[in-house]
Amino acid sequence: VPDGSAFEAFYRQNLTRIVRACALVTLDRTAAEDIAAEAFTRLWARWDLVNGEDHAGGFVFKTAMRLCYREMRRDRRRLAGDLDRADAIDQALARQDILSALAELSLRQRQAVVLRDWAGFETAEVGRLLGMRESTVRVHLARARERLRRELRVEEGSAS
Amino acid sequence: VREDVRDRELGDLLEGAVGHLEPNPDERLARIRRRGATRRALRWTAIGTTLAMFLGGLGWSAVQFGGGRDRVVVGSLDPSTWTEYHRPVDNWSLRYPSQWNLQPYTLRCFSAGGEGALISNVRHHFEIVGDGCAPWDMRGLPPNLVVVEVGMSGAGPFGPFTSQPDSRFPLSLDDAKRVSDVHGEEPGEPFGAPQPRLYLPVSIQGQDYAVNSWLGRRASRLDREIVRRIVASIRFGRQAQEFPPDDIGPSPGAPPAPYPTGPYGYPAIMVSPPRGPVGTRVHVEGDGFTEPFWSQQSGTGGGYQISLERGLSGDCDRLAFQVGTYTVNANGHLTGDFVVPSTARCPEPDRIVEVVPGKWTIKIACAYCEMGDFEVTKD
Repeated sequence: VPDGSAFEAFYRQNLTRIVRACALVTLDRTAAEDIAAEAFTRLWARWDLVNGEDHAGGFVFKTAMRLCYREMRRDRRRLAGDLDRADAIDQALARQDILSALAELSLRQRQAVVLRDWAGFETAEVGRLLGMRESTVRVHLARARERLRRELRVEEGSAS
Repeated sequence: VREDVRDRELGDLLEGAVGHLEPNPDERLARIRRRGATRRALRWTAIGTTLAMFLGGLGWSAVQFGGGRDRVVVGSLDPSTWTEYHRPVDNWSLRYPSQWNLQPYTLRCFSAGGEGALISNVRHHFEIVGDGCAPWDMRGLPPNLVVVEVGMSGAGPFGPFTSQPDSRFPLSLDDAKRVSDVHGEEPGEPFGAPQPRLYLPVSIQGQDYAVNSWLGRRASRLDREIVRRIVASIRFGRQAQEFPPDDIGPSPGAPPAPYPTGPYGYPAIMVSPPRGPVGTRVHVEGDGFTEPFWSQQSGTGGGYQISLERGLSGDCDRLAFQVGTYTVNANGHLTGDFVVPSTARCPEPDRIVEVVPGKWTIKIACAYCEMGDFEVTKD
């Protein structure tokens, strides 16, 4: 039987981060929490096979991103940035320009910019998490940043 | 695009959008653990089941192909390793690889009786199903099974035959009729016998005999050729004296010195030109064809003569049959010509196919006599 206490500690430590990443991609808090729960369920089912927290972290992030992608493909309305149907918290989120700008991005562009610029993964890691080549990630990233900067009126050169 | 630099300002904006999200970890933890544990149990059950099935399959295969009583044995085309079987009652004989299984039988169907023998690459004692008129039970035997049966007509499951003029020898499997047997509730493959049955009626001095061959769907080329040669070695009555039974076929790998050996173990041949498109006229020539087999097959118009085969192309073994003829002189010098045809045949299902570009095997005289290669080109 795998170590339940280690899993619980990992879960408590990473749940918020996974939910926030999923919320940025799906623009839907409820969906983000459902996806995060499913990703952690799958992690617990394979907990005896993963090696350490690094492996577990990669597994749960990758699983969550795949589930986000599947969820978004299933519900095309969210791809168009339909935030009106969201709950109170989502509406609070929607008031911010950043979410409106995110909604204008393609799903892959959104995933790339969230994983790179928000979560801080290296581009190569983003490629592994999304199952695409690093060069493809760079293209998605560049287009996403250009569009976000234009929508949010952020000046070029503010990267650090 | 070339620089891998994190855009912190965008990152901060994104963090500001979701920074207030604080999900309650206790809300779903119990459900996550319960469902995860269930899935883990299912996964291990599936792994265990798959492993058990795999090991069971291995065990079954070991029984079928390893040490079981129905083990397939490998025969040889070398005539020196073959054994002669003679039935003095009916005065017929044949030759077969000594490694193979020969089972004489006596059957009684109604008032008619008959005797014969089964030759097979499986060490198995064949039984008939039910009474003396029923078919041989081949259920559960390996898919690379081959069986030859020689018997008096009416001996066993095969119906009465009309008396014909004496058959010509040597017999050829190419003349056999493809018969599909249907019995009871197992149409197409009655009691495990591979279908179709290759049925060759034989008449000698008013007595009818039957030669039946069954080739399993995974029977090897070697075993198919051995069956062909067993059938060709069958002699009845005085024919057994006229044709020495040793002449059942060439000996691969044993051309008389100093002639070179080709890539397939037979005497080497020169192919000129070695490649060309459909319609090319090709000349073949070689020395060392001193065994009687080669000259017996030449010029008769029967057998394979010169044929082209491109095997293992999908589910189709393309065969261009008798595309040319050859002759062998008294010194064992072989010469022949053929023209690359535009079409070939696939045996199962039987259909006409194109001669596609690529390497084709040249066969001379028999199905197993692979002598060299010819490359068909596009233009």
